[in-house]
Amino acid sequence: MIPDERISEALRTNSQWQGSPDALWAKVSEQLRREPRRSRQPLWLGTAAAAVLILALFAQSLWKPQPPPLPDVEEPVPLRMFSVPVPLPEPQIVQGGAELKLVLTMEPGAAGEEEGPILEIWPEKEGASPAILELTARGAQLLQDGYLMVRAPEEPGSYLMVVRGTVRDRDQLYSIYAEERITVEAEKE
Amino acid sequence: MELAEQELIRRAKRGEQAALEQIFRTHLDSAIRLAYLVTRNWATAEDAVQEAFVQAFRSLHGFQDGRPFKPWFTRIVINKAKRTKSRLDRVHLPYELEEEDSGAAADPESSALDRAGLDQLFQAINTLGDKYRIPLLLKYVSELTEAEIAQTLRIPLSTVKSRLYTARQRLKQSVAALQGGGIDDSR
Repeated sequence: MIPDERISEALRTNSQWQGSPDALWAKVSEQLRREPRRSRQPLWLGTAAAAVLILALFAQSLWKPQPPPLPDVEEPVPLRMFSVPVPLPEPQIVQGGAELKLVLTMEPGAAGEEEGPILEIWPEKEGASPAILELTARGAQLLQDGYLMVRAPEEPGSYLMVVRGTVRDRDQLYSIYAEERITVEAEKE
Repeated sequence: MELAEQELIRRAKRGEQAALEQIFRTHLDSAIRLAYLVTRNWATAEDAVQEAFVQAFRSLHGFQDGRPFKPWFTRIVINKAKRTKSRLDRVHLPYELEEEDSGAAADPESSALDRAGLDQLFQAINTLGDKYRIPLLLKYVSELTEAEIAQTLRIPLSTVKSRLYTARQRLKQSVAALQGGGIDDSR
């Protein structure tokens, strides 16, 4: 592994800012002094503007001649950009040692990227070390099945199970990946 | 969170300029470096950081007492930097990752070799996808703990650990490939 200090140093030497903290602070404090413009406007001004707009739109819809109906052709759905936070999927709740099916995503790999494949089990706990296991399954079999059966840890707790690496089938390299969050339930007395 | 920081934030919430400025100066270096490494352009990094400080200071009244400031603020910086980067991508402005001058050293030959190694490592970091690169930047530039990275990116702790591990594995491979097969792990 590359030592931590080496990574920090590579990032530090390649990101030396030559700007002036004083000048940037001057811009920030100046911007803070200026109140947001909308808060200076009286509230009634916005309400009145909205009312005028609604009236104008209403009048337009009453008086404007309607366009002829559009020809019956399929129009492409316009693309829109949304920024919606994607909720994390709930972890799968399993018994200790239960068999889990991890569905693999596969992509053609490039020469020189060969690694593993390995199974990583990451406990959801600060300071806990992962278990990293080399997989012995045959590449061709994994590619044919499209999934891998693994055993959940026995110890109750939350884990992230990751399968990654490359497999080879008939001289073609593929990279595989699967990820599943699980919670191993404590055994009931 | 340190008592000094809590006190500083309390004073900043009351609008004390000196406290706001102290917070700004404490967090400026890591914020601007992080923004630059995300946007890869100093001018946009400065804009992003300026916007991030203004937004953070304007929202300070809603900031919960006792919580650490850095993960919260870093999240704002990341969001601003990503937004300005996507603006940059849309107008096709060139990235400008610049040659940095880290200064002269006592032994120019070993310094040049060392510099080349750091540049290769930096090049390898830049080839990582954001999924792996951002947690790495938060760890090594912002110096957040794994738990704070999880909080900042709103992903589980185990995901952070896994991504950091994978990132470092990939760096090792990339550096080995750039060096033509040999890995210098002795440093």
